[in-house]
Amino acid sequence: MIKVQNLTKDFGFNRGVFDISFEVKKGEVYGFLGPNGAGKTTTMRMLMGFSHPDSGETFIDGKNCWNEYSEILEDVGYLPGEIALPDGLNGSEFIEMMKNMKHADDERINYLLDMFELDPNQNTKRMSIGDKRKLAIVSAFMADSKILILDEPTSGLDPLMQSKFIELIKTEKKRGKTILLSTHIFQEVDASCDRLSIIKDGKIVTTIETKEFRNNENKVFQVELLHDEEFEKFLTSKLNIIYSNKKKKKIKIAINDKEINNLVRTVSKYKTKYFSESKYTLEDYFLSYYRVREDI
Amino acid sequence: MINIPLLKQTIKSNWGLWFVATLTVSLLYIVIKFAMGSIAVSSNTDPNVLVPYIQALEAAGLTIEGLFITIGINPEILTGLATMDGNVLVSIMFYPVVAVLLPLVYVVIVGNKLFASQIDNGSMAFVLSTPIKRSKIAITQMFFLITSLVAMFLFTSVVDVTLTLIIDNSLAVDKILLLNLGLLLFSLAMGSLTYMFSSIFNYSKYSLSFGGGFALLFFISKILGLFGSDLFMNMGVGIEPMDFFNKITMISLYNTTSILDDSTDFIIQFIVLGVISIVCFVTGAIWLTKKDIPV
Repeated sequence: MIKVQNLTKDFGFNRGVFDISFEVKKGEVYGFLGPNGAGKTTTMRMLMGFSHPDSGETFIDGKNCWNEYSEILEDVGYLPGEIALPDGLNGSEFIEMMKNMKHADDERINYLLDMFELDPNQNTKRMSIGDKRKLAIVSAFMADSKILILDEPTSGLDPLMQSKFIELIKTEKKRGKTILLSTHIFQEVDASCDRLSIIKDGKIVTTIETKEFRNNENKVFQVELLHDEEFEKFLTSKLNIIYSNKKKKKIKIAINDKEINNLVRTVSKYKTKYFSESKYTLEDYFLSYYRVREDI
Repeated sequence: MINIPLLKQTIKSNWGLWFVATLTVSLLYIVIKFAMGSIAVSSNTDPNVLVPYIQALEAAGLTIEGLFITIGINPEILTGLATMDGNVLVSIMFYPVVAVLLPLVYVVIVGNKLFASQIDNGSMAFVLSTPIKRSKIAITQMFFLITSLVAMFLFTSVVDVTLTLIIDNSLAVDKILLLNLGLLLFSLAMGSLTYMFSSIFNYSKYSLSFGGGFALLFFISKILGLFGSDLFMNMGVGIEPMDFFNKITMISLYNTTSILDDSTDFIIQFIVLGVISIVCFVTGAIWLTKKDIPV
């Protein structure tokens, strides 16, 4: 449904995206996970036909995103990462404008407004960030488009509204929508995505199926040691250390259930402050990819 | 060709400035027409009061020219002054220097808001995410700029003509209409420039620097150029090298002198203004359809 092929857009100074490829299948929720400036928005802009690639191509529904944008956008709902509402309109007028531009219907709009408890009759200049975000969400979903491209959809929303949003994503997925969303929040993709790509410095570092994490045999253990010299020694062990903090002498180890005895044996040789299991999350996966070391 | 919801948004976003500009231009007309009406009264000086002075000079074997030379003024100024009509003088200077200012401010601000400021703050993302073609967006915004300027000049022309008829009828109505038409054509040409810069640049600061920069350059050059104009030269207060400024300001294409002295130079210049408008509007519109828009 959404296809990105060897996409490159170089802004210089290592900014941009470099030779990335991925595909979002029909009915799939696909996450784009990465820190700010990794290239998520750049990719989405090219999918929306806002900018054109230096090389490579993007397709939605088999159509080229730069040449055939106006046909593609008949079926796409988009939520921009940074919300700036058009000048001269209050919230209701904005919704009215978007409704007319996208040929949406009132029933759907009211359903969305109710869901997010939003009163659009406000001056947009005095609106909170959360309310602006809600207006943008309503605008993205109002035309009941087959495809949704959502750039950092929940930033600025309070936790209650964040979970409502995740519910909305799940509902829309059940209704057969194809969704691409970007985020830097692990829980968000964890809760809603089928697959995700981790993107860093404009390159996709890995693509994974999130269900592997929901019922997998991997665990993460945390251990905090008492002595510096032992901390250093622990780091040289053959265990899969995904995180270490020298100051706190804290170490996180990712293991498969089968290796549990090996871990217990190793840990027993050290003087420990505590030793505990933590749930293996996407965040840990992310960290294991980068082997984050905090030496401060 | 145009998108009505977008046009509505553009109108809502800009009508306030349109209103202020139109009203201010109308007020300026009111002020200047009253002023010109009073010139007509004060210039009714009885020539007879001058007779004793001239007789005194002649009795001493002197002339008025001689008097002027003695106090260091070129006597040619006398011919100029004798043939000068105060109202025409005011019109030649008023329209391209004063009346031009508000439309200039209007096109600089509105031009920037049509694209650049919406791309700069990111709000254009919403319109771009709809199936509306970029060419349609470009034409809708162009339509607004042109129509709002035409509406502004229809309104102010009616005010101008009405005032001319009731307060000061020193100028024929067809001249007044030509003066206003020229002002409209010049404003459209300036509007097309700001439209083009707004389309080319993604940041308000650049779009405004270029649009406003040219407006300011043209405006200041027009004022400096006045000192080098034939008008000032004939009055004996001109500085010839200052004529340079008339060559670098687009306001020179709005040739009020030619409109008022029945020559035909202004027609060609009107056509040039029209060509500039077409070139800049088309360039701006095409540019918008081709460029990357970082929203």
